[in-house]
Amino acid sequence: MTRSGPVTRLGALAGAAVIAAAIAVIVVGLGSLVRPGDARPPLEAPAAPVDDPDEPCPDPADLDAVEAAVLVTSELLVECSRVYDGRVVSYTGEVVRAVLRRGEHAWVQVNDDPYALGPGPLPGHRTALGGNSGMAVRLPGDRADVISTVGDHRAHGDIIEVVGTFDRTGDVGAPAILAERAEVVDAGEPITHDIDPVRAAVAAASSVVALAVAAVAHRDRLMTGRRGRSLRISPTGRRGRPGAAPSRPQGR
Amino acid sequence: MNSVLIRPDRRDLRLIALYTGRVLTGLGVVMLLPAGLGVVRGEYNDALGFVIGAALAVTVGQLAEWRLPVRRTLEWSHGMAVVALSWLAAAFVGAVPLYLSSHYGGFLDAYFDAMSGFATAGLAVINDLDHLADSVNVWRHLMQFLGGQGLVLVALSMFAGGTGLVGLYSGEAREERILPNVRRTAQFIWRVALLYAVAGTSALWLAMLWAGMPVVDGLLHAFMVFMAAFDTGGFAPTAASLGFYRSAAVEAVAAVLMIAGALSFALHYHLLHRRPGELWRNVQTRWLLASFVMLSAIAVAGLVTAGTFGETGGIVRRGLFQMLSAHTGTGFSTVPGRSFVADWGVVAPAAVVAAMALGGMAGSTTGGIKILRIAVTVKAVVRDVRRVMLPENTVVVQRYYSDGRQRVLSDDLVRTAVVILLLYLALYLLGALAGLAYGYSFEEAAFESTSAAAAVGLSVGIVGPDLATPLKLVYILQMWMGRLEFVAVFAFVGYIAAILRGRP
Repeated sequence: MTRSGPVTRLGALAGAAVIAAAIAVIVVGLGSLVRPGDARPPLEAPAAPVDDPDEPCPDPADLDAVEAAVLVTSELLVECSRVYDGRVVSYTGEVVRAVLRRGEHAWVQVNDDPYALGPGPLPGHRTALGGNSGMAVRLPGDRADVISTVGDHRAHGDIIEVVGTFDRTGDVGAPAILAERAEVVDAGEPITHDIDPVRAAVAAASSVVALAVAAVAHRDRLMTGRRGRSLRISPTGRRGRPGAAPSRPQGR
Repeated sequence: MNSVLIRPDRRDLRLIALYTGRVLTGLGVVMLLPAGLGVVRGEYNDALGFVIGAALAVTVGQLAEWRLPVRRTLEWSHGMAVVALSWLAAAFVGAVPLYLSSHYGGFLDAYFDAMSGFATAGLAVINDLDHLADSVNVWRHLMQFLGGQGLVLVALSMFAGGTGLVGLYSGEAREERILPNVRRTAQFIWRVALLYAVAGTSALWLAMLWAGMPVVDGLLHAFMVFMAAFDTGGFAPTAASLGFYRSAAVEAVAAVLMIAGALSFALHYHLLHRRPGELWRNVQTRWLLASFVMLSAIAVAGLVTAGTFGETGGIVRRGLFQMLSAHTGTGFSTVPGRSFVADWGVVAPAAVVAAMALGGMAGSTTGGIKILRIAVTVKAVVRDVRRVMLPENTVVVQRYYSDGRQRVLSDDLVRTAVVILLLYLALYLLGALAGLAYGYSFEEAAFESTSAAAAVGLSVGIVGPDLATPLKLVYILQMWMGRLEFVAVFAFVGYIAAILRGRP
């Protein structure tokens, strides 16, 4: 018989404490399955030309004095798009996801975050280092041919250095580097994903537990299905179990 | 106040826990889909993560089934509490495979993204999205699909009936009755979603192939972008959002799906039954169109003044797309998020915030105040002004056309609309104040807060992997309350208050 009567405060607080403890145990347990791995030796990332956080954008006059391509990061191009608009820039990063060929040119997304130029993609070392940042680059079709590996879950993509004109509305209003030159400075390589035996064991054990609990919860229905008739007499001779979960939806 | 609170019966709590457990069981079963994808794509550790998550969900759900049997009819208040609790619990189990992917700094981060998924918000604190496993990426988008349709409703329309089902339906912010009963309405909503899934994914796939995407990756991306677009969620397969594809075709198809997602399911019913006239007669269509045109005009004026785009093409393709993304509550971006504060001036971002705050139609997948409440409030003001101006004994009746017939603007309807509107404004303000407390400018704080509470997902950069923990909690609360439109949350809090302070 399902117990009725108002909930007691003590009972409610005890229940809440049990739930909180269970959540804590689950979270800690899951944490033990998330282990950082080995980091790839980082590439030497290009130094940011402006270090002052209060003045993130360089003086245009300083840039005018530079004859060669200006070294930039994606963060600078986004924050200071008007300063760099129309200038020849040099940008280095990892090609990610896909090379989108469009006739005589191709679009690529080139990231210069720590996963590109630092320790490498997160799946390789499993250390959180922030989000992605990058810039769209339009390559001449023949220059896109130098890219052989794109970055995704299975690989660290080719690191390319592009030189071209930054146009803050270069792609029908969106910022992009219209590259004239591109070369691969570091070839991409695959990321290995060895199966974690501990995780496999936990998955197997938890699946068994889930199936066992489900079987117990639905044993009446399982027995009915197997024998073609309802077995609702308990070992004590009483018919069914008072308060057992109904097999049909309630309220109909 | 204390004297009117009656402590709930044990059977009430068991009933709520039982139905919450059933939602989790359903969710656990769904989690096996990305697990299978993980196996196919060779992402074995992630597949194991899904198995662990599914096992946890099913274990909890079936424990409730086994140990909490109760003969009691699910009533409206139970349904409301089930919805509120289920969303909290679903985000917990949904976060398990995310956390196990190692792309999150802690479990709270994974919980943030899971709640953002189910609430179709689209804000994300994930690390290194561009190297995320396909199975985990699909799961992120699948959560938006489930949340947009109403995960509790579809799971429990199989199990419940009576007024409780009405509570479940209303608790997930749906009010319109498309078909004679709630169960059939829920089934219709899912049929529409699946119809759009086939058509939308196919169209996006073709557009992506044309854009240069590889075949298999293109199909996966098309499916993910469909789920985010139709459910106005805003997650995207890559960190560059929809801008990654550099394709007008992809953006055009996505725009159609976003608009479809912003239309009420009642309108979809009429459209599917070849009654296109209902589209224009509906008060929400007219007001949504008027709102979009007006706010877009303001945004365009702001962009021209700020000199953001040097050509008309940029204003149309980027500016208007962002306005559509904001107004439908989708959150796709085709420009870097920082551009809103770094390059868009002041007026255009303000228009974006207003669009996010308003949202789409009531009874759609969008968040925000909803255009119907705006229309009702403004019509009520007009009615009251007319009452004042006309002779004292004049009877003024204000009508509006919705869901196939003329309706009278009743005082109850007006009161409900205004209360929800005020609650949303308060929620937007709460989040903005929290952002201000962390040193962000008002423009940035208001933008991010509105995006979270209205379940949009556009970001100026506040939300990211380095988001401060208290702000994370504030935005999680905003997404939860905003998606459920407050009532279910209040019912849930009411149960807690009754337990703690009520009389036996």
